[in-house]
Amino acid sequence: MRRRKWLAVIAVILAAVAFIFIRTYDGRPGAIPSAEEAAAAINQYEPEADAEVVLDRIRLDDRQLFVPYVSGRGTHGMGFLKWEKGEWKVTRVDPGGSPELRILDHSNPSERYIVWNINPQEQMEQIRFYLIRERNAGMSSGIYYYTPRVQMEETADLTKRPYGALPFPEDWADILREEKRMNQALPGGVLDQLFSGMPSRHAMLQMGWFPDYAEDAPPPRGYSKSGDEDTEFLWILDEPNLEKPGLTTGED
Amino acid sequence: MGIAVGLLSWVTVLYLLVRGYRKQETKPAIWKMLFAALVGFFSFSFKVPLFGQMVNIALLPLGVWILSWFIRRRSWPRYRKFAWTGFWANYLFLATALLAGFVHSALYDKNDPHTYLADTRDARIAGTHPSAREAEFDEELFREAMASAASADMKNSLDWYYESRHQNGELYQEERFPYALFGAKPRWGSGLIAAVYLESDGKGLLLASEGRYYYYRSEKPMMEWEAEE
Repeated sequence: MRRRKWLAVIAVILAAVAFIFIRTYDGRPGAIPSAEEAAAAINQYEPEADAEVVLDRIRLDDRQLFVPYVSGRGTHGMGFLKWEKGEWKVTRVDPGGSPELRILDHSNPSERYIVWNINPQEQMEQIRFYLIRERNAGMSSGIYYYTPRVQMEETADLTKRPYGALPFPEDWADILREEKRMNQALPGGVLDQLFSGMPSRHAMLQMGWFPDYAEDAPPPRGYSKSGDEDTEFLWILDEPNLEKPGLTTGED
Repeated sequence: MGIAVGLLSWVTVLYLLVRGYRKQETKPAIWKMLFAALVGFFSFSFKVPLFGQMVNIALLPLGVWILSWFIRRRSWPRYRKFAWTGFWANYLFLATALLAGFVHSALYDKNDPHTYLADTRDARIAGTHPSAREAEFDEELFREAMASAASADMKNSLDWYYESRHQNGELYQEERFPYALFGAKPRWGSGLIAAVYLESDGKGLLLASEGRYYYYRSEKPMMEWEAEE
């Protein structure tokens, strides 16, 4: 009797394990879908995308794909596919192609890509990407502090290809990692700081992009987009947001 | 070290519980005793800064009260002692945390830059601002320059700020600390982490750690620049 009870318990546990395994196991990623298959999948997910020409199928990691496409209307968009439960599934379609940050692994800042797909009619020649943290200085609770300004740049050439995927620079990832560790090590934690009214000695890290147009380019348009949990937006930057060393100074 | 201290505290609590259990005549089941102690640990507490660290001071024995409500009056005396042991454990943790703090500051000098930069074998320098020049980390050079580094005044940190921000500032559109040092490890067991920045002339070191800032100046540059064309 007792033995049969135990057997029942083991059977239930085994069934539960098998169930969880089947529910979560994604299997080994299969071959990358063809251009036609990718376009069909994107249009099925988002009929308004009207993907006609798939420009490329770029592997971001072994189970995530970036598919820049051109629609029937001639607009440039981006599709993202993930290998889940034994098939390539569309997880997001962006009918615009302005740059954004694609997060592959939320726990590792290195596992990110900056992706874009810009309509050549806009005559954007290159994009400059920036990681920025504002300078901060002063004195609070008897402590003098100074946080240097961070302004790191990466450029992408658009004259050869209108689309691209730039692996997140290692120096940027190191800054992000350091920021995270420093925030965790603050005495009392972030929440306590909020409530104790201590002024923050630190500005937030921001990522942005700056388009460089050809001289005879049409007037630039505005960009807007919505994202999913794996998307991080990039600010579109303006000249005054950037510091340029070496300019003539002190005249006016 | 934090883990070792925590472990020691828990072992002490466990010892106290076992001793109380042996002395008591009507014994509850062991897991029930442990559960009572764990619930007893739960308290209304507040955080105060004490000797340079944030500590929890337990005020109201919430867990003990909850238990005394839920356990039948007849059996409560069997658990009372263990619930209270759980509550008093809060103070044991407080004491060991303070003690650990004293030992930590005796072992690791927070004002000494070497505490944060004990191991620089894997260190590298990255320019973090367009005013940075291509630079290379040379461990020997860095160690040598660090030997002469002395704590410096950063009372004019606001001036640094304005020099970079004001149009007629000396460093307008430039950054005083345009380099970051990545990958340096602190002294073993200190658990201290710091963000490390180097000054544009290579002779200044700015450390940010746990909400505090330290500034040092050396006689020779701590880094090497690539030759300019």
